[in-house]
Amino acid sequence: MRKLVAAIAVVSGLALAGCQTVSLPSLNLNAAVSLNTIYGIENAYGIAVNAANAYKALPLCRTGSVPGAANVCAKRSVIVNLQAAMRKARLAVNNLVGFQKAYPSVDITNTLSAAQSALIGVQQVLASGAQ
Amino acid sequence: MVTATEIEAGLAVAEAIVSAIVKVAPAIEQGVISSVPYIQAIGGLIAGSNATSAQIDAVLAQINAASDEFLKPLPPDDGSTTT
Repeated sequence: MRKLVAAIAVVSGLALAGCQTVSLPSLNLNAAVSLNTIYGIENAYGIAVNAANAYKALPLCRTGSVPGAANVCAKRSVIVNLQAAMRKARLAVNNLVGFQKAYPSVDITNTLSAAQSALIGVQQVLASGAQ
Repeated sequence: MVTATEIEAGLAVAEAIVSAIVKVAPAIEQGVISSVPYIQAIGGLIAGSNATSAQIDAVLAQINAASDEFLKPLPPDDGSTTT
């Protein structure tokens, strides 16, 4: 996966380099980069939602029991925390998409950061469910 | 202006989520299988494909529907599943 991240860094670097040197009046390269960034975040959100739904589909752990290989179950407390984190992520990702649509030429950095932070929150709760 | 660092950070979020899923596997293996299209989409971006507004809208609607399902409340706790 690190190789993939390194690869995207190279690809992105090339794209951004092209952005500075190629002049195409009919193509807004900044907008293209924004769309790709949003699509990447959106797909990360999709992965998180699928993982959350799969976790929620497990039988709930009985009071006092501990989840493990011999007792595959979901903790009610983790699902409740995950739902709270997911509400934030959903709002943040939808805000990101809505913002880019409403203001296609405006910098999306702030809304992007909010969406990333919210997804990291979901990831942290998911990780807690794995322990 | 979105920078390469920001794009990389977005992918790092996806990587962290996938890592969390793998830790829970095989209990939520189904979640990983269902996530294949999303992982492929990220792979497409890495390979250089460009996303469109229509794609973004379609995928978001699909994920929001799955999110609605997840956000439905749990059955009430009768004390047997308080953990």
